[in-house]
Amino acid sequence: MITSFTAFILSELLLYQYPLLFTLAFLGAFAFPVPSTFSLVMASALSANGYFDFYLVAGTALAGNIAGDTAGYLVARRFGIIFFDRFGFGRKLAHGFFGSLLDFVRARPGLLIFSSRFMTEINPAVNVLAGLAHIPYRRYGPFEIAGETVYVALFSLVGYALGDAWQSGQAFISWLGLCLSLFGVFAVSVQVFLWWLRRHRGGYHENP
Amino acid sequence: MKRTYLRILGMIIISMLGVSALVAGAFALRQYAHLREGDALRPGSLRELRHLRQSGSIPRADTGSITPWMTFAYVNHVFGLPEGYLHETLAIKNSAYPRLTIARAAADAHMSEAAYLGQLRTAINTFRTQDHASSTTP
Repeated sequence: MITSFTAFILSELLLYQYPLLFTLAFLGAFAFPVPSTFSLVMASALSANGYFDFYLVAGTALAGNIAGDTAGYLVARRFGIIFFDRFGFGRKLAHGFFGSLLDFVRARPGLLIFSSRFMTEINPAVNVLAGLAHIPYRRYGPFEIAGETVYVALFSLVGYALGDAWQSGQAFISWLGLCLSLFGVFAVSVQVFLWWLRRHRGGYHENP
Repeated sequence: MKRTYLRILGMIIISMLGVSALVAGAFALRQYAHLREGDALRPGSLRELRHLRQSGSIPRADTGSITPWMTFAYVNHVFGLPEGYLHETLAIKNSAYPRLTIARAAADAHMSEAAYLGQLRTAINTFRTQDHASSTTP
């Protein structure tokens, strides 16, 4: 049984197809809580009977995700400090917990950026952190593109393989998403912990 | 002292995250096995899957799978119906057809979704019977 919200998204997806898929992927990656992963899986499932083109679905979702992530990163990079300064939080960004967080992002952005692509709730926050930390795009871009490519390929293939049986596969998709998110959080936590240990042993040298 | 506590706390949190990820992975695998048993998830290359679907090895959609969120364009595509067939048979007046949902068409016709779906399924089955009869007639 599907909820009325799910039914609404499905109807809109059938009506507006690729532009809606791109918009949802973009908004989800940028910051808004929209069902972007669900629409990717559904469009892929509907491409199994030829209504959507599978490669076009994957390409559209990938383009939307990369565009949304990059927009979030660029906005934070360009206006982030100005925004926080304006509301009196500028000093907090340079010291204390946020300062350490930005130091970590500057020191080791790769795994954090890559693994956060699977966590749609955390992904926008990591883009903002990368922007605030002024990570150069040549360091941000490759991890961003690689992470999004794996994410889109995985969920679109699951959707395509399920095809008409997508309703019976909802539990599998939910558990798969949760498992990937938890592994991502686990990997980043291990990295943060090791970084913290090294830093407090005095073996850590901050980036200039 | 505080640092030691933080270190232990960090290790506990990381271990819990690792265990949670493994548990979620085990549940995902269980669901995967369940789908494989039910023949819902077919592993293989994209080409293989596409070939299976095109060759008809996977059964054609049945009319019971039609739900109100579907559009007429989608139903026409899935069941291989000519674009004007349902428009004519169900006397749809909404100009948005075929980019119109079944739920919307039912509301336009002042009918319950279930009753409208019944009419739609009958129309598709009739088309299939006629189509089959015309293709077998010499």
